[in-house]
Formats: sequence, C-alpha cells, structure tokens
Amino acid sequence: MEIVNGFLSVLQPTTFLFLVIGVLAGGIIGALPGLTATMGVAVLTPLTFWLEPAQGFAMLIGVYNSAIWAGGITAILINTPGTPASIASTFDGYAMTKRGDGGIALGINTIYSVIGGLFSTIILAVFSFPLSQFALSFGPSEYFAVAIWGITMMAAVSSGSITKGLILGVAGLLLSTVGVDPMHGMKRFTFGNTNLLDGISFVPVMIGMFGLSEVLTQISKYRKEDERSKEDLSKIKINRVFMKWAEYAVTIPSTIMSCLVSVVIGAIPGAGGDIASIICWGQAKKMSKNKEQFGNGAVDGLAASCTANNGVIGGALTTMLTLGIPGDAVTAVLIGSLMIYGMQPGPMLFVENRPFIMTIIALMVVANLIILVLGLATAKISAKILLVSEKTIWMTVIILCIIGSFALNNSFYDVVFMFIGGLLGFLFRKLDFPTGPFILGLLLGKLTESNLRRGLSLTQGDYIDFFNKPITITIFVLIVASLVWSLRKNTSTIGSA
Amino acid sequence: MKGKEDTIAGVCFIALAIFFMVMSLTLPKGSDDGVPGPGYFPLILSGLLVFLSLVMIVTGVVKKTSFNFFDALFKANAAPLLQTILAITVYLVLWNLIPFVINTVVFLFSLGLIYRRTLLANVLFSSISTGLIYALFNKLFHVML
Repeated sequence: MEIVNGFLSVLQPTTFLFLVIGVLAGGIIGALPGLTATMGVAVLTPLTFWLEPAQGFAMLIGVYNSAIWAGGITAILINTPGTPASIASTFDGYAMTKRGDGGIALGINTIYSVIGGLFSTIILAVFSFPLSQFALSFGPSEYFAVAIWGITMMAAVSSGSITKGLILGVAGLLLSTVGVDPMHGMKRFTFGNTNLLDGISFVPVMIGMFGLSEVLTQISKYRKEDERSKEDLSKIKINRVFMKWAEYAVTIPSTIMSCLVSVVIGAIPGAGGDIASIICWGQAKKMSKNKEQFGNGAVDGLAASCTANNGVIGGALTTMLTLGIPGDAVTAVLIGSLMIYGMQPGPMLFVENRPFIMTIIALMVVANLIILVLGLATAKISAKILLVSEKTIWMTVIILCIIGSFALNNSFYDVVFMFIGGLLGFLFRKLDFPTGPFILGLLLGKLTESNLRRGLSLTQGDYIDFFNKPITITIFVLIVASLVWSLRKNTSTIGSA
Repeated sequence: MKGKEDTIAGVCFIALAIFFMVMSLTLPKGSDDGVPGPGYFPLILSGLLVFLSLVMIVTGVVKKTSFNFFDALFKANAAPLLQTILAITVYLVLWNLIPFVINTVVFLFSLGLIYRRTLLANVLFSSISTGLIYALFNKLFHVML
C-alpha cells in the first residue's frame, strides 16, 4: 500500500512534470560529451531547493537516470562516451553505427539501460528496508568504520594513483573540521569569520568541483578542429531501432549477468557505472559463443554494457539511503541535496521519512519508463543534440554555477567557496588527483569525527574496545583488502605499461 | 626534474597539514578520562596528510610517473582559460558594486568575446539568458540578486 502511495505522489502533475524536465535535461547533459551526470545533478541542485522535496528529487532522479542512459548516444554515434559510465558502449556501439546499425544500437542502449535501471530499482525496494533495519543496530564504531570504508573505496577505485585519492580524502576530512566542533561546540579554524562557523559549505564546493572545474577543463582542452560539423553528423544513418526476436534472445544471459553484477558494484561505495560496464562487458565476452564479435558490433556486448550503466543506480542508492554513504559520485551529490531538504540519509531516514523512500522507488520506476518512451521515440533525431555549441554550454554552466551557489543561502561567501572549489577541482584534474574522495571527505567529515569521538568517549579512550566489534572488524578487513587489491592493480598496470 | 608536479603538490599539502597541525595544538586534545577534545581529530588527520604527501613525493620521484602539468596547462589553450578565470573574478568583485542585470549582461558578453562567438549570437545569448536568470531566480525564487 505504501508503494502505491509512492506512485500516486509521483503521478501528481507537478511532480511528474519535474521528473519529465529532469529526464529531458539529463538526456541533453548525458548526450553532450564532457557533461556528466554528476555535474548535471550538482548544477541543478540549487534549482530544486525551492521545490517540495518530492518535486526536487524527481528532477534530480530524472537527470541521474537519463544522463547515464544518454551518455550511450554519443558513445554509439561518434565513438565518444557522453559520460564515463558509457565508455564500454563505444566498444560495440560505434562498430554497429559504422556498419549501418546505429538505430538498432540506440534501441539497445535505451531498452537495456531501462532493464538495468528497473532491475536495480527492484533490488533497492527489496533490500534497502532490511539493510536499514540492520544498520539501525550500528553504533559509533560501526559508523566510523563505514565512513572510512566509503572514502577508502572511492580512493581505491578512482582512476590514477591511490595515494593521491587518499590524500584528497584526508584533505577533505581535514577541511570538514573548520567550523564549530560537533561535540563541544568550540570554534575551530574560523579566524573570527562568522561565515565559517557552519564550516565550509559542502554544496557550493561540490558545484564548483563538478560543474565549474569541468568547464575549465574543457576550455583548456578545446581545439577548433574538434568541433562537430553539421556535415559529419548528417552522414550518420539511423534506421530501425528494434532487433529481431532471435537477436534479443541472444542477449538474455549477458543481460541477467549484467543486472546482477552491476547492482552489486553499484552498492560498493565509490564504484560507479564506468567500472560496472567494463567488467560486465568483459564477463559477457567470456560467456558469449561469438567472442570474436566483441568489439566489432556484438549485440550482447552492447546489451551488457548498457544494462550495467543504469544497473548500478539502484545499488548506489541503496548504500546511500541505508548507510548515508554514497555509492558513486552522483549519490555523493544527492546526499547534499537531501541535506538541503532537511533529511539525513541513513537508517533513520527509513524510520522518519518512510513515505519519501517509497516516492524515490516510484520515481526510479517512472523515470525509467519515461526514458524508454523518450529514447525509442527520439532515436532518429538524437544526433541533433550534438549540434548544440560547446560555447553555449560553457557559458550556461558557468552562470548557473555562480547564481545557483548564491541562491542556496543568498550568500556571496557560497559563491566564493564555489569559485575556489572550481579552481581547485581544475588543478586536481590537471595533476591527476581524483576529486571524488575530497568531496566525500568533506561530506562525511562531521559524521566520521563525531562517531570516532563519541565512541572513544564511551570506551573512555580505549582503542581496542572501540574497534573490537564484529562489524567494525569486518569493515576494516574490507578496507585493507580493497587497498591491497588497488595497490596490486596499480603495480600490475605500471608493470605492464 | 621528473615528478616535480607531485613534489610541488605534496609540499602544498604538507604546508596545509602543518598549518592545521599547529592550529590544532592550540585546541584542547581531550580530558584525562580519555574523552577526545576538539584538537584530536584534526591533529590525527594532519599527521596522516603529511605521511601520505611524503609517500606521493617519493613515489613520484622514484617511479617518474608524473606528467608535465605546466605544459598541459599552458600549451593547450591557456588564453581563453585564464581570460575565463579573470572574467569570473571581475564579475565577483563587481557583484556588490554594480546592479546584477548590467553586471551579468557584461559578464556573459565578455565570455562570448573570449570564446569568439558572433556578435549577434553573443548579444542575443547574454541579454536573453540574463533576463531568464533574473526572472527565474529573482521573481520566481525570490533570490536577492
């Protein structure tokens, strides 16, 4: 009955309208190379601040799902992933376009992204409630361990050096200590500035790091000869979007595998659609009878990667909603959005705001259905999105970052935080530092510190007592294992280079 | 020197960590019964940051894995990048000095000039988008622009 109320809430005209707007905006953001789902959600968050939570979240869930799906459009048509999650869609999708099957590839992208999205939503609906019940038994020690696990995982799975990921994670945690101390109420590192009493504002920094820095990076890389010409795009032929039934049957094993694998990867803190789609594509190749077709336009290869793209979303939302730990970069931003609405993700959300959880589940289902209709109906004209000028996008994103961060609290300081965040984000990218752990450190800093100090207060400073809990030990074993795995992976990459 | 970008970044992080460490030492670290004080967590983190930064510096120099950041930054497309940063800085400096609409139109127009848009497209974009932003944020959302 509760889920029915969730659907009724989503089908309210205003909420539904914002969901559609979110899906359309996400479709454009995802399809344009360089604009990511994370950036889309970050830049649009200030716009949703003025809406009811269900309406605001409708828009953001629409952007999230749709941008990940639409990233596959450019991957398929011009061999350039619109978002990192669609990297694996270039392997077979572009080969299909070159042989004249671009329409079918776009159809696969839409249908299988929706299958992945819907399956992961079922997992969210089934597992999030028992998981939140389990998480209710967590004490300070377990929460501290979970927060550290989240930051470590995000550093471990980020591209580049794990040391750099950890440095930014620790730097984010350190900067989160600016402001009033969470236990004693003592001012720290504020230098008499009252604007720093609440700490470094997370949302403006996040908008700068994911929005402004992305634009600055694009400007720094821009070359006139890379501009998409109308002539090149007009050469792309898009015919039918549906395959024959027998071809759909070929994709069933890889799709099932992708659904299961991607939702688990999505639930692991820090691991997102890029990792899931590459792993699933590789597994699908191993399972396939036509291994030689992979990379040359295999429909089951494309189906596996497209399923995995959106298959991570439900898993990432499960971790975010039940533990308050983001499953990927987009959910890190969504935590900030929920905080703006006055909600703290974690097990208590399932107790205090149970109807809102139902609304989120319903939003996921309806968003995927809208994507299905939109994707199949617009496949033949989807290449037109690529005609939007990069310069228009840069200017739009820059001004939205500035005005959006000001609009959060009518505070000029937030704009300054956003600008500094944007410049730092740009420098981090250029120096090959992953920005995800920094944002996560800043986001989880207060939670990490207050649980560590509360736990140590309860054990009167006894570290053994603090850590000697089965769940805490298990999580720390996972942390060590993920660090060792990541270091081995890095070593083998350097060795093979 | 190979690895110099990692060295420079590492030194910056060490400087940040030492700054926080020194400031943390002025805060209470905890009571005698083991309850940690406000200086406890930042002190641990700054120590950890120093350690990780040293690891990065040494790794960067030994493995020579870093790339030339300054080449990547300044040889690619330096002029529009630096002009964009300068335009945003000027826009923010003038934020409280000039009415929002005029400041924003001029800012967007200047960005259009930096990106070498056609005059017509630039005039249309800067004026229409400023109008839309003002209507949306000021009139609809009541943001004090």
